[in-house]
Amino acid sequence: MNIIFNKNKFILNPDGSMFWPKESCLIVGDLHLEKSTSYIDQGNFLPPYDTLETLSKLSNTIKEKSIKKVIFLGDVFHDSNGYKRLKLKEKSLFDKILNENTIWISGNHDFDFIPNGLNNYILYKLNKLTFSHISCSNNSKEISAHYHPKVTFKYMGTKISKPCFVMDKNKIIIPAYGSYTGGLNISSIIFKNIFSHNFDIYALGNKKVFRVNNSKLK
Amino acid sequence: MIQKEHKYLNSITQSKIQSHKINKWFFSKGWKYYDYQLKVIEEVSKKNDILITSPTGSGKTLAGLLPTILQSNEFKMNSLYTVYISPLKSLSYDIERNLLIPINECKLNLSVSVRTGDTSSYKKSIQLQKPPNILVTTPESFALLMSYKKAEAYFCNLRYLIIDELHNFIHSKRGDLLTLNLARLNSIAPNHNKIALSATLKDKKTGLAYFSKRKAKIIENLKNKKLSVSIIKSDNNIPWSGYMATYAIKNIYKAISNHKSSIIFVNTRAQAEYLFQSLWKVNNKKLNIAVHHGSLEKKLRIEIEKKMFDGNINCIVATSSLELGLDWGNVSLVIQVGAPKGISRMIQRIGRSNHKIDLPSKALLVPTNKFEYIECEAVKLALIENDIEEIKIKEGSLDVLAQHIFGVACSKPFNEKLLFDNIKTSFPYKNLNFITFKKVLKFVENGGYSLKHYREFNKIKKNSSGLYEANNKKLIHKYRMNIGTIVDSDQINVYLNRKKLGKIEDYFVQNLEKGDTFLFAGEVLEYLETNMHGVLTKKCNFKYPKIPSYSGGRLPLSTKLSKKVINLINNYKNVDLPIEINLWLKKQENYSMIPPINGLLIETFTRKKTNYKKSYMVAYTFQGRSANQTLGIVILKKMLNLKLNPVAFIATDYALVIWSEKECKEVKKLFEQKDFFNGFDNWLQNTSLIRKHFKDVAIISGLIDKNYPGHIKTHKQIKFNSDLIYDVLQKYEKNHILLESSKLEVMYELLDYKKIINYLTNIKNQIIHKNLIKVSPMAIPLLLEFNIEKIKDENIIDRIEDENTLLIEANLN
Repeated sequence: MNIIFNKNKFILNPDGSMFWPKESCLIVGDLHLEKSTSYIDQGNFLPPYDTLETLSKLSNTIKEKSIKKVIFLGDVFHDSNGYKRLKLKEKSLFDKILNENTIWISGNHDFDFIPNGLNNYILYKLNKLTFSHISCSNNSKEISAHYHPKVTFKYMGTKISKPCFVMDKNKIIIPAYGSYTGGLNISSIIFKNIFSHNFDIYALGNKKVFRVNNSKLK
Repeated sequence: MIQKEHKYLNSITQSKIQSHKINKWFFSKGWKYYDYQLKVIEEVSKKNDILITSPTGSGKTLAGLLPTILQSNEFKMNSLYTVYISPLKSLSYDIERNLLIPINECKLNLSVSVRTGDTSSYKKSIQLQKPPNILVTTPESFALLMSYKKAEAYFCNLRYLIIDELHNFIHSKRGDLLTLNLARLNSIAPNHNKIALSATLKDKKTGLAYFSKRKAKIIENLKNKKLSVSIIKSDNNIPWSGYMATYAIKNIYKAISNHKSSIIFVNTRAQAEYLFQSLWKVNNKKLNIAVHHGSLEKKLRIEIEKKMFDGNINCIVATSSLELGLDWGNVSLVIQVGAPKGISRMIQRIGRSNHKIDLPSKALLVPTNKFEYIECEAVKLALIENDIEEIKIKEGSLDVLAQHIFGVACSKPFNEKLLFDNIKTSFPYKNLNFITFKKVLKFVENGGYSLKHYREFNKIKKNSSGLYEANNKKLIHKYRMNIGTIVDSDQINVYLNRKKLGKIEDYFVQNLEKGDTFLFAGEVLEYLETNMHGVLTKKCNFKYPKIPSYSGGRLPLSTKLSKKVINLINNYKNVDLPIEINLWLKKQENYSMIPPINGLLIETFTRKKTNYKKSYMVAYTFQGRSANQTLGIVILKKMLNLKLNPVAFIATDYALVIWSEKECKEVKKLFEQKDFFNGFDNWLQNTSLIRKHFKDVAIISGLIDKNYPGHIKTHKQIKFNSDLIYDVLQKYEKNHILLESSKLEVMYELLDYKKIINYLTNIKNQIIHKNLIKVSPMAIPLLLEFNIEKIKDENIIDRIEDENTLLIEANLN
């Protein structure tokens, strides 16, 4: 799905990432790596495959689109100790994804962790666009993550619930990329406060991203 | 009075009874013992375990407790002798209340206390320090007690364990939990006697084997209660479809006006709400009518129950929440609205009327549509023949096993081999093999994954003597908070102004829009919004709600009853049926045919809609809803492969209706039994059906915690989307024990696999295909069903993507 935001063309991918052809740049957020292993002390042994799943997905997209630069919009790890818990295979996948072009924006979950050799940003600007983890009313032309938007609607009598991109002329919020991340319904007041009345919703499908008609939602 | 030489009693037992205070008190009330009650005392004295089957209202509870009462002289204070397990909290209080009367009036040296999830923590700690002689409790609270470090000391003097309403546990996960703990109890207090009580039980030997491993006796009270059952007569026609009985409301009202007190049983909460409202509209005699169902706020429910006891209510509309044993003696009429769907259930419900065994139970059946009329006739016949359903035996669930293993570890370090042997003695787990057990054990230990990510942290750990134990206090505490096997569908609190009314299903709320009106707690409520606390509503003046809710608690028809229904329609000319029903079947016979007993009738026809045509196929299997649902899933898949563009199907208890965009030419081939389930497994993995089960399994086994939607999330509570976990597990560890467990359960509970295979084998050469020009009379009610299964999930998403692409291509997006 192609969209235009502030005169820039972006491609929305069904894996939840956003591709910026002009900059050969991929934008992803909320990977929440090692979410599974962060609940051990609560006695919840979640299947420890989420990190591998998420990183494999990301590596494939980077390869496919010949990405030169990745912008991480925060919460790459579920907690600041997440990196230390990576096993060998996941660690090597992760390290390969990072390079000197990587933009690392800190999230609220992994605030105390910055990968070796990278700067961390709260705000990052490129081509008059602002990138941040959480949307802020002061920013304009902003791309952010954090809220894990998802949309619920009915199609042919069946209820469908999917992660989604939300945008208006001034802001974009991208869905969470991680495989164990739940979502916040876009009917939430939070989105009404961030966006103008006419915001667009693009939901993640199996092979494509599809547009959901906002006026049909409650 | 007990005669000098009673035929059931030896002299010692007899003198024991006669010398006990309770005896005098009993007769001073003008009561006498039933023979079977004395038989119980005698057999217990011979150290036999006992299964008592006796109709409702015949003194089963007393029979179960008499051995305890007679020994009360020997009891020491603060020592537990009898545990009474009851399926419902409300029932527990009822038992306590009834026990306290003789205890107080005869000044018996006997203490009794109730322990359920509602018991205050203060009272609970007293119960732990100073055990009562008799503890009345639920399987969950019992399991919790068994997980305490002092469980052995607590239960070691036990003499009697009584299980009330045994049939209620047998095919359920609650029963799994109960029997696992019973097995453990046997090793703690090897000499106690078990007594189980049941009103309706077909296969009594299995019933006995379910809870007892020792020498045991079945004691039947053969004196059957007289039943007087009739079907309501109304001047209005019985509707083609629907479940609300509005057509007969005046007749129902008349019936309740003619009786001092009555219960109206319905099958769903929505029916309860709707009927309650409809009755108030015609309530010109100002009768006190109330509504009672499981979703109501506890306070409201208790208030209603109290009013019932005090005799301040003329009629109560209830779901199965009032089905079990609550003892109100004076109900004179039971009305069943909607087909009862099972014979045992009907007997249980009818038993609520004239609770005393000598008076006949009176029941009035109200069918809500034409098919249900026939079902009601079938039930009437079955009741006369006392032909009740057999118990469907279920293998013990592995998620419950996981819960139990951790519970044992909380109480005492265990040896895995000994624990396995002990678990095998519980009936549902008698076929458990060591490999599966080991897998479940590994799961409890650290998740049981082939990747050793959690090696450094274990929920249970082998100690220096090679025994598994649980040491983490936080996890033990959490386990005790979450014990149990009942996973409610996600529910949200409903508030009217500031008053909490009860809980409603999350998915129902998600479909509400501001201004929508719905029925709850007997009121028409207007939906305002959902916030952190729950659903906020206000009262509104509309008479009829805009959004009805038909979901929840739809009961499947038992196989036995469905056979009776098909026999009945084949014999309709010889049965006394209302003219309209007779005419309906006659027209069916003339236009198509009556579905044969040993064969399968399939009708096909097309219907034109404004701009497209729909091809319909109706298969009259009479195999019950869940079997038809399975059949529907498979046939739909076959039609997808044949590119017939199936749209949806409806599975009812009687038939399966599928419609498609293209007509199917070779109908019989679709139902060929050969390779019928090929590829079904793969397909099943992606259905919402198995995901729903996985969620329950994940919660019960302790993989994830219970969700409390509409509540503020606390730090301790982890909210997890079980679907995401399911997907990852399915991809990376297909043979994980929890996936295996959910698959087994889907197969057992919803899909009636074997039943369909047997059925298709039996009817192989007897499929009759009628290609009709238009809809047949019998298909009409089926097409009007609203329980439609659409093609699901993945296919739908693909269609949306297609539609989206097309719109973009045409520049319409």
